[in-house]
Amino acid sequence: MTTDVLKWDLHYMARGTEVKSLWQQLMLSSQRGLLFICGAGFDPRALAAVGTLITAGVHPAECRLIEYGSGSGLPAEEDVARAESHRSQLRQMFTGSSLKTVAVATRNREGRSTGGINISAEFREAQSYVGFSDVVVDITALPEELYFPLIGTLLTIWHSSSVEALGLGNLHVVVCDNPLVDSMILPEGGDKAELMYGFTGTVQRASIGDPIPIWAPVLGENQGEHLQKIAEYHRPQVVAPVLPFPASSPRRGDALLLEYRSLIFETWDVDSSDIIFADEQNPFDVYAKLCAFASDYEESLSSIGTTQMIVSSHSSKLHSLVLGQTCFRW
Amino acid sequence: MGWDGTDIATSNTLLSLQMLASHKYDGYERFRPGRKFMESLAIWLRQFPTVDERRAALTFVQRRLIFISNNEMEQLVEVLYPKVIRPILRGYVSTKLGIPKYAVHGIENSPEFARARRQSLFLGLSDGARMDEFRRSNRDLSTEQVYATHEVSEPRLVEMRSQLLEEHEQNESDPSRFELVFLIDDFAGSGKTVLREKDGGYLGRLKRFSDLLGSDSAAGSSVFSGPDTEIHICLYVATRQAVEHLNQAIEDYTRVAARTRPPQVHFVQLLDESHRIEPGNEPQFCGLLDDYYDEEIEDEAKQVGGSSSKYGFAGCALPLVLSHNTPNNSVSLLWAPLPMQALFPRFERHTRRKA
Amino acid sequence: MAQNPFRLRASEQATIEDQFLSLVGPDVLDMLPKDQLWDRLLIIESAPGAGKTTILRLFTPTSLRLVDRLKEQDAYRLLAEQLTDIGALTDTGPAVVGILVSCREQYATIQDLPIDEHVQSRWFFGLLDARITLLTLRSILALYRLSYPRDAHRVEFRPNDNATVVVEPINGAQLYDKASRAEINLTDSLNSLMGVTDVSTDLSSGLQLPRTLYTSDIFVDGSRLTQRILLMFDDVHELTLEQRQALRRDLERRELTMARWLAQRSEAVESTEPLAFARTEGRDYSEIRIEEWARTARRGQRYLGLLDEISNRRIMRAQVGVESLESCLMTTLSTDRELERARQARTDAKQQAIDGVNGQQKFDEWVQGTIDADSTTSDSLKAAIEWRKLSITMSQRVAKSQLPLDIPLSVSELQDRDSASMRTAAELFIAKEHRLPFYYGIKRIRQLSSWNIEQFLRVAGDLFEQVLASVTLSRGSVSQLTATQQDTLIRAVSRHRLSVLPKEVPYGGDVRRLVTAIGEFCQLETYRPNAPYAPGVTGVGISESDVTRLREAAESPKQTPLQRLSRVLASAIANNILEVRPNVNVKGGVWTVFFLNRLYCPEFELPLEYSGFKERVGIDRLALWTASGLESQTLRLH
Repeated sequence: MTTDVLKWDLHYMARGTEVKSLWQQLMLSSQRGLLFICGAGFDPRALAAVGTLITAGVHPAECRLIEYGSGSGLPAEEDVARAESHRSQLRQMFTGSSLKTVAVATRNREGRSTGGINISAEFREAQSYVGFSDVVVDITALPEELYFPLIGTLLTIWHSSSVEALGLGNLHVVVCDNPLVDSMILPEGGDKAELMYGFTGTVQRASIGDPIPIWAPVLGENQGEHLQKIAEYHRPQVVAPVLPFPASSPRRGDALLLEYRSLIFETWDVDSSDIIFADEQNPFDVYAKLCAFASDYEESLSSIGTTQMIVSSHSSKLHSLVLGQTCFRW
Repeated sequence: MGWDGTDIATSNTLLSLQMLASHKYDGYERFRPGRKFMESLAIWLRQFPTVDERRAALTFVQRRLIFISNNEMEQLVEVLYPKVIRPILRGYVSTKLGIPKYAVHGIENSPEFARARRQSLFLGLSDGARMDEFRRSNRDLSTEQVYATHEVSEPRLVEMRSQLLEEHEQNESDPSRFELVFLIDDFAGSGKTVLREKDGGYLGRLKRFSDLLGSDSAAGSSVFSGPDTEIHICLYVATRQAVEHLNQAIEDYTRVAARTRPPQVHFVQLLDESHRIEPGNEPQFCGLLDDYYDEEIEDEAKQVGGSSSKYGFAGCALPLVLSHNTPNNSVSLLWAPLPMQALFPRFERHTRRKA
Repeated sequence: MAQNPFRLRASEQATIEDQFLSLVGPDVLDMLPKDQLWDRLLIIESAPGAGKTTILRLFTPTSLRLVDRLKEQDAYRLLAEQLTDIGALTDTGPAVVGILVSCREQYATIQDLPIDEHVQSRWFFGLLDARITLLTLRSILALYRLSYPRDAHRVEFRPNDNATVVVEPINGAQLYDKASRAEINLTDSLNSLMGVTDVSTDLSSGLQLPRTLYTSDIFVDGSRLTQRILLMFDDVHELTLEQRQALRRDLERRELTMARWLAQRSEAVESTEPLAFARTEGRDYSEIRIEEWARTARRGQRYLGLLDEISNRRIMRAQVGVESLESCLMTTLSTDRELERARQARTDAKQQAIDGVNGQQKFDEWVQGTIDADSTTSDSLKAAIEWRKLSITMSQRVAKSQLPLDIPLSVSELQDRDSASMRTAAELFIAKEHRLPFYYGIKRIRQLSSWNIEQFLRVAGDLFEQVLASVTLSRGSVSQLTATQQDTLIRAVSRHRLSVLPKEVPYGGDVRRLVTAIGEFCQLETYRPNAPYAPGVTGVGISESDVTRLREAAESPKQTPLQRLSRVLASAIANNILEVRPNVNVKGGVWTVFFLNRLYCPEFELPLEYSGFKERVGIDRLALWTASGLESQTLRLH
């Protein structure tokens, strides 16, 4: 498990057993209550973070549980059952008014994704965070289309003057990350790549002269179809795949190259020197590498046109977390 | 190239190997022009007389070989500071100031942090430590604190001393001694070149540096802060075996040498036990290791490892190739010149002395 | 390492114009109705990957200029002639300024925002108008090789006779400023994580630019632009229904002088959208469906010619000494194992037939005929097929007399259950029974494309990869792929495509279940001993009343199994996984038939012809299959 006190250049990252002592230290220094925001999903790790908090002796004053409709069709029965069991366990942990449910519809009738718009609307009121010394967002059981805009919205609040004016507390993001489990959750596909609400940047802007899209996909296993769709959507002129290194298995990068050999070296014609390595365990390394990559290209291509950096994560939640920040920057 | 490979490989296998060859393996520095990876592979495989043997050898290359390319090595050099060293400095300052570790903003903006950074000395343990690259990727380190070798000569020590004193005179708050030393190396397979016990005494690069520290504090105006000096051994690539050996050896040595602070071992890329090539997980390939091993490859230097080099120096049983050379901790068929031509010929640093 | 030319970004994705053009043959223009291009709204529909965007991109200034420049070269001569023929090129260069407008999701999002319907509509048109304006400027500047947006001030819109009120000329730079401000305001507000902000630009409820183009003449550096303006809207299906309808209404206006095309994905089950607009006074638009074109064009070999041309163009790029895909593929059995199995098949099939005759004299002539045929050929497979055909025909005779109710059906385009169909059925049976290859040879590879160029390229790419591996390793000499190699690879591709469905399309898990059930069901029907639907069954048909029920379920707010089925069918059809044929008349009924995309046929060992389908399957059964797959009790259908 990893906890981030989100600061771009200055971050603190705790993992594993460090997390518990971090919480304890943190709570000693804070007087007011803690607000915990999480999703009611089927992910087996859904309750791990709140469990760690409570065993560390920190009981959140309030929990906001995000209930989201499943995107397509009917979810598998065991998923429904597991999500329900997570919910009832949470109800036991938070009695009475300390558990609030926030319903978010992720699709409209035409099947378009609306989760981003809806979750952002639900969490954009700065006033609702007043009175808490710490706000902890656990994205473990939330899908990408929700936690990106959620974190984006919170960061926008925390970067605004409200922080000082309202005296908002610390903002933390927690993810229980396990690349293995992530790779076992097979997302059911949409037929197209979609831009994330709130993170569209200047993509598609017709007022920009000669945009040069450059794309850095953070590679993970079993994502061929998704990768192809994004490439078809953005038609990047430069593709710079991000491989995990150092990694728990030093062969993982090779395995990914082999899995996507035809895409990388034939379809996209990637130059070996455009392959980026980033620390598998440290999203901030991904962040730093992508920033450096973007500014290098911006500099070298500035005479030809305007570069548009596109990033996408096909790897673990931990990695995609930082992409929210990268997108946020541009 | 003569060998068409179709007896053991599908077209997908061959295209995959070709991709890895042009993307990574061809960058092996010991290859010659005209004999890059695919050629070397063809020659290597052809030496095994039977199809089954060739298949076992090829399967090993496909499934187990770990090749760390020059680009990957550069990445390890680049992340060493943010991943390993910066947290150590933060921890050091956090203890000093008595503020929590996660208060990163407070720590990094404090004068103590800048001071601790300047009080750090970074030394290479071997040519592979890439200290030039390390310095270039960390611009907030000064050239006076990064050196290619841990064997610091007397004139160099004198120079360091005067440099520190000069800075100290200009600004009282500046350091006058090094309080943290980072000993950096590219790879540790067994850890024995860093520190090992022999006949009740200790040998190795850490021992030599430790001796240097001792003579420094005995000198009049010392460069290091004596027994309080924190020593951190930072390895770009390390096996679990090496880390465990070093931790144990350091514990014993600290007791013997009566040091107050045991040096700590850190790594960027760990190779855990699952990568070892053993009869239990690779019976066919291990059969080849048994069948194609020549005692002629042993020499005095390798005997330090305590076992034959069939499974690599010190029985490390690694499937590892580094772009500049193959470690002798890797299984012998990968690198040994005998009894057949190696897939990744190894460059021997020392001239061979027959055991 | 030689690159696989089939894996280059598919033509629609090529980023560099000359790379793009080198992959496009002149035949793609055949798809366009030549006499209906410029004076009315043209709607182009197809499944993804059929080549819509490729066609549209040809008409952008950069492409046209390039073709014009290279028209003396062999590779471009025919394309240039075709473009000249339809009026897009003249001796002096491009005669059209194509403006390619993508309608992707940002527009649809407007309708999800918590704002008033009228405001939504204004935002939609406001954003679209701003984009068209900017893209028009960009295209005009590209035509003149000027820099966008830097040189926008060199373009001027001067009022012409159509202007009813006196207006001042507008300078391109002013237009750019205004449109880019509108674009930035609208997109910022659309994406604001802090909620919708008030957009204070004056937005109207329709497109303004077409009006401006109608009432003005365009001048660049003082001289008048004589080229025809062509507005091309791509991916229109990405808009919401309301937006699509509004846009179409707006573009159907007769007074518009510029050419305008709408390209969208065919969504045949999209029941809520009226196919024809409620205009009785004759159609103001033309419509083409690329798959329809391909099907009709197939008879004239034009479609096959297009596939060959595309693959040969790519192979030429690879420069590995191969001339065509066809030349890399064995067309007969050749390996020892194949030949041995064929010999065995001949013996077995003969024995089986003679056992089947069982002394009945009525078959004597047939048997004698087959013996004659057998004795004149050394081709074991051919002989085996004849023998197997005899067995099938005999069981048909028996079946017919016993089961008069269940008479096979076939689609009108292959009405004659001729001997060719029987031979294919027999070959299929032989292949299955003796594990011989079936899916090989250029003809079947082409059939696998299912009228989709991209799909063809993918399969061809997989085959070519094997060729390439042999070329690179043997240092130059090209070996042909054996029948078994082709067959193995195609079956693997088929299986793979099926397995990735859940990740590829909306409701993918359901789509895969349905397709698998249909495939298994077709397999059962195909391999009945009398091969009643020779060469086989590859689709299911539902009745008119079922179509109505499905439509009602789709529109109902209630979540029912039929509603789920309607969504799954819509997704499968839109993504070219099922091919739909409405109004097929057979056996006194009218059916809507869902054929499997040909690429899924090998997984179920089905033939590749669009021949038989099984009618009266019933949507309730399809709904059941969607939820839980083909169940054993449903196998007994009759």
